[in-house]
Amino acid sequence: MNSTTKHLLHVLKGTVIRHFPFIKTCQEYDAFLHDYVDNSLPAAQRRRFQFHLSICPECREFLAAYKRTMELDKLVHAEAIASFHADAPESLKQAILDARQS
Amino acid sequence: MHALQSGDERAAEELVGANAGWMLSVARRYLVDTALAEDCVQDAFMNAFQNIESFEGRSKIKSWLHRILVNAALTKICKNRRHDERPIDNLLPKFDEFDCRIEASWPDIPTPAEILENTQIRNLVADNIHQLPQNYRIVLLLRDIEEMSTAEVSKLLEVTEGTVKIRLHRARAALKKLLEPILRGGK
Repeated sequence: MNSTTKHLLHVLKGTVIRHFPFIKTCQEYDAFLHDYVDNSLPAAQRRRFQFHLSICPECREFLAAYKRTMELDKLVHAEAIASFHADAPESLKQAILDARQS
Repeated sequence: MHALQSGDERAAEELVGANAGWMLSVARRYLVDTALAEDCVQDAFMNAFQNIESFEGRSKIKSWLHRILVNAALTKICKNRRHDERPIDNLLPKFDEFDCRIEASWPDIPTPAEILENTQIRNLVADNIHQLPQNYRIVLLLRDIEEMSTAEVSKLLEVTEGTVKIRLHRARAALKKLLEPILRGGK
């Protein structure tokens, strides 16, 4: 697909989304994106958002990368916890016990 | 627990021995700096020892300590607030004149396991996570990593649930932007 066709499709999508009743724009939906990901959108709003996703590749791909980022964040934290020494340094444990005595 | 509440030294040693390790790992999530994290664990234990009488055993001791630790970490973050944080605005989603999302195509996104195969990239990912401004990184930690509810985070940070939701979305979107070079090519 050449750049002119891409641009025309983009303008068409923008015009439809802006003027079609019941379809919110990407910017309006951005505020609901975390609720959609967290499954906390009411069913009707969820269906409308899914329709928006079906006609908007940019939102669809943004959402995929957004979810992948969350997975990566969780995995990095989980691995950091697993790889970090399971026990605290003796000096710290002793400092805690000394502070308790004082 | 009764031994701890009656001031038994051996019980205190066991409590510290069994819990200081995981508490230090959790404190490092919030504070990054190991020395600050160690201070935080010490503060949390002092708080726990001082309030051991109030522990009624309705929750597990680990959950009780975890709550005290997170509060201690948040207090420490407030005291050591960084003033050199990068602004988040340029990391947020962009929209054009039609309010359509501006997003370069994502033909293929590697899985987290594929990305983390490379140790250098693994460290780069961790560095990028730490680059998020603290207000946003903390909400991300509490909601996505600690898996607290929006209401719990709102109560803990003393902000509205709406603020928690906005910060959470911005934090996730900003982190996506920060990690984009890695997600797009593992570089």
